Amino acid sequence: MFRYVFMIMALIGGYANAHQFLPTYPKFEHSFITGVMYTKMELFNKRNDVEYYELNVYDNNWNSIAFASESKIVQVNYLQTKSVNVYVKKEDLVRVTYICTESKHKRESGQNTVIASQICSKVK
Amino acid sequence: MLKKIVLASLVAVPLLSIAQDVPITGTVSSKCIIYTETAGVYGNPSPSILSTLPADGGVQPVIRYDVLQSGYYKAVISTPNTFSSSPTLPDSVTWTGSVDVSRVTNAAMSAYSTNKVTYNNTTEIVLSVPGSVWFKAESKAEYGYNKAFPAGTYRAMVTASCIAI
Repeated sequence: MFRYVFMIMALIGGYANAHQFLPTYPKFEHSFITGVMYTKMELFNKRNDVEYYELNVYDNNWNSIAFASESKIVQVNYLQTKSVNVYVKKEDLVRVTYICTESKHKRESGQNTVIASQICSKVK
Repeated sequence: MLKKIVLASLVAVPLLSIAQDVPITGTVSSKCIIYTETAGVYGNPSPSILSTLPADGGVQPVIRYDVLQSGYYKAVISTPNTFSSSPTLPDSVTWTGSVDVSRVTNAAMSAYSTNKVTYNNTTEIVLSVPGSVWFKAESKAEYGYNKAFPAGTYRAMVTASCIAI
């Protein structure tokens, strides 16, 4: 029953703008650089009002942790999925708790209020 | 005799080849999707007030969260405490805001209204029931002491986060 309700809601809500970031619990692996670990994240943009997402890595107190990626501001076109590699120093890995993406909005966007969406995956 | 053997082997070979297991695999993974349903508009019921309440001529921002499994994510919604763009404001702005459940797909989600944790301008709700839930935010800005907001366009940001727990 719930499955049908969920499907109907998904169809009705098909017009809405969405942001998705996976996996929920990423696992780090050794990269090709000694002492650097990496994980692959996937960002899906179904927000037609957003083109850029900011990538951030935090510890469990929401302090920023230095990381490397192809770009910290990721351009993802509408309905596009983009894979992003996040590289972290091996000694920092014990502190890494959250990997987040947050939508970035242009100052001249047409609406009075704007909804910024942020999704954070957790490293366990 | 030879014909029978050939025929029997021709029949047997396909039988052997179709007697294989066809594996079906599936992965169920948790995920959270944030939908921005309505961006919201500030109404201007009096010169010193900007409000998203419908009674004040505004439109409330609506955010939908979809979670596929329970207990993997929490929703964190922050109402504005500053304008992201506005004319120059020499006086102070007093902000108030709130977040509440608007629609649910599962009756158990109605508990979100009572189980939410609110601090400063932020509301946290553990998404403990799978399905879709809509939250509506209310934001109100009052300028100075009954002072009129300068003419211009005002924009503010509601931040909707989905954080893995």
